[in-house]
Amino acid sequence: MRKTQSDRESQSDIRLRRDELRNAIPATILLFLALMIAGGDKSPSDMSGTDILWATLFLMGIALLIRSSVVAYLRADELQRMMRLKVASLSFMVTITGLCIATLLGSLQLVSPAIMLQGILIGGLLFWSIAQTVLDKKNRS
Amino acid sequence: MKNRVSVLRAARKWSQADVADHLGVSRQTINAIETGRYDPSLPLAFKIAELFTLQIEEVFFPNEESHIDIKN
Repeated sequence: MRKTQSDRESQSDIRLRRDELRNAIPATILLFLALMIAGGDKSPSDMSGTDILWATLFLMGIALLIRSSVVAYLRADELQRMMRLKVASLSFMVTITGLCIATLLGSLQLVSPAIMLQGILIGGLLFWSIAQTVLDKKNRS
Repeated sequence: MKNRVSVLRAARKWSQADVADHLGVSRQTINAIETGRYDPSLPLAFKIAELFTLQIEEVFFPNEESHIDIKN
């Protein structure tokens, strides 16, 4: 066995991070494109075409994101799997709470739930990635 | 559960990454096991013991407070 520095990453760490990054790139590009289309100028004539394109890109982006998460989960070791499940369940709880609040505000006719839906989804994904990074950093030391 | 992984590893002058590479797990898993933050599964515990060519009970042992009183 080689004698190396104790802070060197194992081959499993390097492989997992490389695969995760490689799998997440197409999803990020598609979601970014969907965001650009949603934020762009929409003339009434091509509204439906743009909407279809936005929905297709958004759904494909989300599908690729879920796929990359599942692949990363399957390739992770037992501690990393446990951490990922913890973070996923926490994010799920946050998203469900957000949806409950949106429904409540919607029923009181304070805010349109449709408007809040995208924010809740993006917020849930953001929470997921931040919590994953924080827990990962905490366990890496 | 306590363990002697860090002592055994240091005696062989191996890094955490070396042990992780041999077991096919991440370095943070080895770090978490050594610091007692994570108790490995039984298959991983057996693999760790096998790596050090020891019996599992020579590497892992229970905490003092975890003894079970068996009453008839």
